[in-house]
Amino acid sequence: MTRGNSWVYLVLAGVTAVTLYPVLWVLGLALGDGVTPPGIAPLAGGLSGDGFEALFGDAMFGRALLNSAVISTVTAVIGVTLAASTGYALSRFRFFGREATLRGIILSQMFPGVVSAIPLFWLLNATGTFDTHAGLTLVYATTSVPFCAYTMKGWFDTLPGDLIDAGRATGVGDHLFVRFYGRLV
Amino acid sequence: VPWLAAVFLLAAPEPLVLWHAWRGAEAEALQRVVADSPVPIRAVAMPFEGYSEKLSAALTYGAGPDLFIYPHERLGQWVQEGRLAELEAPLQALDKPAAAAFVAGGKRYGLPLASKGLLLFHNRALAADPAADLWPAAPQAKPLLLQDLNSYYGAFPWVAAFGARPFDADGKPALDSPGHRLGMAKLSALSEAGVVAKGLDGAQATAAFLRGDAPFLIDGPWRFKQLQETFADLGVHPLPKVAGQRLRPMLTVDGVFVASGGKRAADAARVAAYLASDASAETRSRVGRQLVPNSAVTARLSDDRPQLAAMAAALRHGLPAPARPEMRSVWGPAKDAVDAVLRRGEDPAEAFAEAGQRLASLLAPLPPASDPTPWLFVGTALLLGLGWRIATEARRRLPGKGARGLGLAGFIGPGLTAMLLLVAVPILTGFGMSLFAHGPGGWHFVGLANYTAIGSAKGLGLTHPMSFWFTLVVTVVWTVLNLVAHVGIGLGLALLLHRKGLRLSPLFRVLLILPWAIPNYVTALAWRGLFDEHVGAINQIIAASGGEAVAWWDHGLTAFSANLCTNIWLGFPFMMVIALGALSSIPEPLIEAARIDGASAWQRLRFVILPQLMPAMMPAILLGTIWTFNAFNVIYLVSGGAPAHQTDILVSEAYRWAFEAQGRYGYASAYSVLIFGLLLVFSRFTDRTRQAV
Repeated sequence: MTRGNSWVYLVLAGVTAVTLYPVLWVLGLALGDGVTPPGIAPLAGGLSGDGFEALFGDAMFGRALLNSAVISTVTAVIGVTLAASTGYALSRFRFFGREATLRGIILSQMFPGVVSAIPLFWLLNATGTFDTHAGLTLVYATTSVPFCAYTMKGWFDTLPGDLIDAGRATGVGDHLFVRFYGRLV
Repeated sequence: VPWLAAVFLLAAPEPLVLWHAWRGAEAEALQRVVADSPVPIRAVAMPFEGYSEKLSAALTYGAGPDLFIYPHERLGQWVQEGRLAELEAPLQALDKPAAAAFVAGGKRYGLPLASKGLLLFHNRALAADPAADLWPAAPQAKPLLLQDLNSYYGAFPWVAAFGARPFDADGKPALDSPGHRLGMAKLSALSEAGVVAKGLDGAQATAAFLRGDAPFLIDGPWRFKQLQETFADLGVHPLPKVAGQRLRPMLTVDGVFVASGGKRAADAARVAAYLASDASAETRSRVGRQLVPNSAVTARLSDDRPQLAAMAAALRHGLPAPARPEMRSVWGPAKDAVDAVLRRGEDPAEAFAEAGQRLASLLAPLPPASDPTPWLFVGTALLLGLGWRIATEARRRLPGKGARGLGLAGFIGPGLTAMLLLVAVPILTGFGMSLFAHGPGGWHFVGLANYTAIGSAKGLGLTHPMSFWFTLVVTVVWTVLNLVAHVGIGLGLALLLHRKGLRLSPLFRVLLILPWAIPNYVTALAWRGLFDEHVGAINQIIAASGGEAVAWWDHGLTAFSANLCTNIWLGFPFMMVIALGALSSIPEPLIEAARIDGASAWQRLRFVILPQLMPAMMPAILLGTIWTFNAFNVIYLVSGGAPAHQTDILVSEAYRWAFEAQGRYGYASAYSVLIFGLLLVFSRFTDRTRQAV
C-alpha cells in the first residue's frame, strides 16, 4: 500500500504547490521593498519590513482595524444566534410554512446581492442608520442568516434527535438546545 | 476648575463637518489650516475610492457634511439636483480658469483651492532638455517618455492637442471626432516606435522613472514630493509638443462647496471663504505643495519655490474638465477606445466611432412613462390569490397551538423577521424597481420597457459585448467550465486524499483548503497581480521558459482564461470538502464487496462510489452554480470586464448599469430579475434530474 501511494504524494505535492504559490507570492510582495519588481520565486528578494511599518504607521489602518474587529465580532454573535436558532427550528419542528421558508432561503441566494443593495440603502437611510456601525452590522448579520441557517439546519439534522425528545418528555423543553447543542457546536 | 472647563466645552457649538479625500502632505496642510479656522471645523478624511458615490448619496438624503472638498467636475450635476448653496464672490484675486470653473448659470457655487493636471517631469541626469517636439518619431531602443495611459484622462492631452473635446460647442457628446482620431493615431505611432512606453500603470511608470529607465514622466503635481525625494534637481515643464501642437492636460480644480439646506449656512460660507483665502492658500502651498489659484500667493512664493511656480505655469495650458453631468458616462467608453488603439492596435477611427455609439446608448433617453393602473390590478389580484391560498392551507394544516407553538416562535421568530425585513423585502423591492426607470430626473413607471430594451439590446446589436445576449453566452460558458473544473479537481483530490494508508492526508487537507479560507477579494486582487503584464509572476514564468510575455487584459480570450484560473483556484476546495465528507459516509463493506466480486478500480468508481456520492454532491453543485453564475468579485476585480466588457458576466454588467452609468437602477434591477429567473429555471431542472436519479 505504501509503495503504491508514492505517486499519490507526488500528485498531491504538485497540486499543493500550485495552490500555495499565489499566497506565497503575495507574502513576498508584502515583505518586499516596493521598488524592486517581484521575481518568480516568492520571498527570494531581500526581506524588508517597510511595507508593514508604513501600514502600522498609518492612522487610518488602526481605525480600519478597529472597525473590522468591532463589526465582525458583533456580526458573528448576532448572525450565529439568529442562524442557529432558525436552523434548529427548521430541523426539529414540523410546522406550517417550513417548506416555504426552506425554498425561500434557496431562492434568496439566486438574487444578485449587488442589486438588493439599492433598497437596503434606502432602508438604512430611512432608519437613520446609514454610514453607522450599527447599520453595517445589521446588514452583514442578517444577509448572511439565510445561508448560515440552511447550513446549521443540515448540521442539526445529523445530530441525534432522541436527546431532545427525551428532554421534552421530562419537561426540560427546548432550553436544552441552548445548553446542550450549544456545547456541541 | 475642571468642571468649569467641562461646562465651557458643553456650551461651545458643535464643530462644522468638512469632508475631503486629501492624503499625505495635502491632508497635513489642511489640518493646520483647520486648526486656525474662525469657526470650529472637524475635517473628516474619506476613503478616495467611492468618495463621489458616498458624497452624492449623503447629499441626496441630507446626511452629508456641512462643507466638502471635491473636484469641480460634478458641479453641473449637483447644481441641477439643488445640492449646493450659493456663495459670494471671493475677496482675493484668483486665477481666471480656476475661479470660473465653479460658476454655473452666472452663480458661484464653490471656491477653488488647488489645481490639478498632468505635466512633464524631467530627470536632468539622463537628458539635457525636454525635446522640443516628439515628432517625427524615430524608433527608440529605450522609451523617452513614461505615462499611465490606461484612462481617457491620460490620453486626453494627446487628443486635445489636435482639438478634440468630449463635448462639442452645443454640448453634444463628440468622441467620434477628427481630433480624437488624429491625436490617437499620433500617440499610437509614438508608442509603436518605442518613444512612449507601453502598457504601464501609474505606479509602474513612477517606479520606472525613479529607476532611471527614461528621462521623462508625465504625471501630476501629486507625484512631485515622491519624485523630488529621489531627484533634488527635478525638472518641471509644460507637456511637450507633437507635430507642432502642444499637449493640453485636462485641468481639474479641487474646490470647497457648501451643502444646501444646512442649518448653519452662514457659518459654513465663512469657513469656505477662509479655506480659499490667501492665508490658507499659503499654508496649503508651503506644507501641502498645492498649486493654489491665489495669484498673490503664487507670486510671493515663486522665488524660493521655482518648481512650484513651474508647475503652476505648466497647468496654464490646461483645459478645465467639463462639468456637465453627462461627463460621468464618457470615461468608460472613451477608456475602452484608448485601450483598443494602444493595446490592440485597432484603427482609431473605428475605436472612437464605437465609443461614440456606446456613449449614445448610455445617454439614451429613458423609456417614456406608462400607465401603472393595469399593473396595480394584476398585482392586487396576485396578492389576494396568494393570501387566500395561504389561509386555506393554514386552516387545513395548522394543528392546535399551545406551548410548542410558542417555543417554535421563540426559535424561529427573530431569524425569520430579520430575513423577511432585510433579505426578502429588498429582493421584492428589486422586482418592483425593474418596472421603473431611474435617471438624473428621478423615477417613473415604465412597465416592461426595461425588459424589452434588454432583450432587443437597444441600439447596439445582439453580438455587441454590452448586449444581454452576448453576456449571457459568456456567463453560461464561464459557469459550465468552472463547475466542470471545480467538481473534477475537487472529486479527484478527494479520492486521492481518501486512500487508505495516506499518513500525510490531514496536512494536505489543511493546505488545500487554504484558497477557500482567504477572503475572495483578497485572492482576486492577488491573481490580478500575478497576471500583470510587466511584473506578474505568470509572465515571468512564461519568459523563463522561453515564451513571449502575454498582455492578459488586452484580449477577450486571455482575460477570460485569467478569470477562469482565478475562480477554479478559489472554488475547488469547496467541492473537495463536500466530496470528502460524502466519501467517508460510504460504507466500506460496499466497496469491499465490489472488489471481491472482481470489479476493477474504474468499475468500483463508476458503479459504486459515484452513485453513492451524487446525492451529497448535487446540492453542492447547485449552490456552486449559483455562486459561479453570480461571481461578481472575481470578474470585477480580476479582469474588470476588460477588454471593453468582453469578459463581463450578467451580474457585473448589471452592476455597471446601476453604479457606473448615470444610475440606471431600474434597468439594472431588470437584469437581476432575469438572472434570478435563469437560476430558478436551472434549479427546477436539476431538481427534476435529481428526482429522476
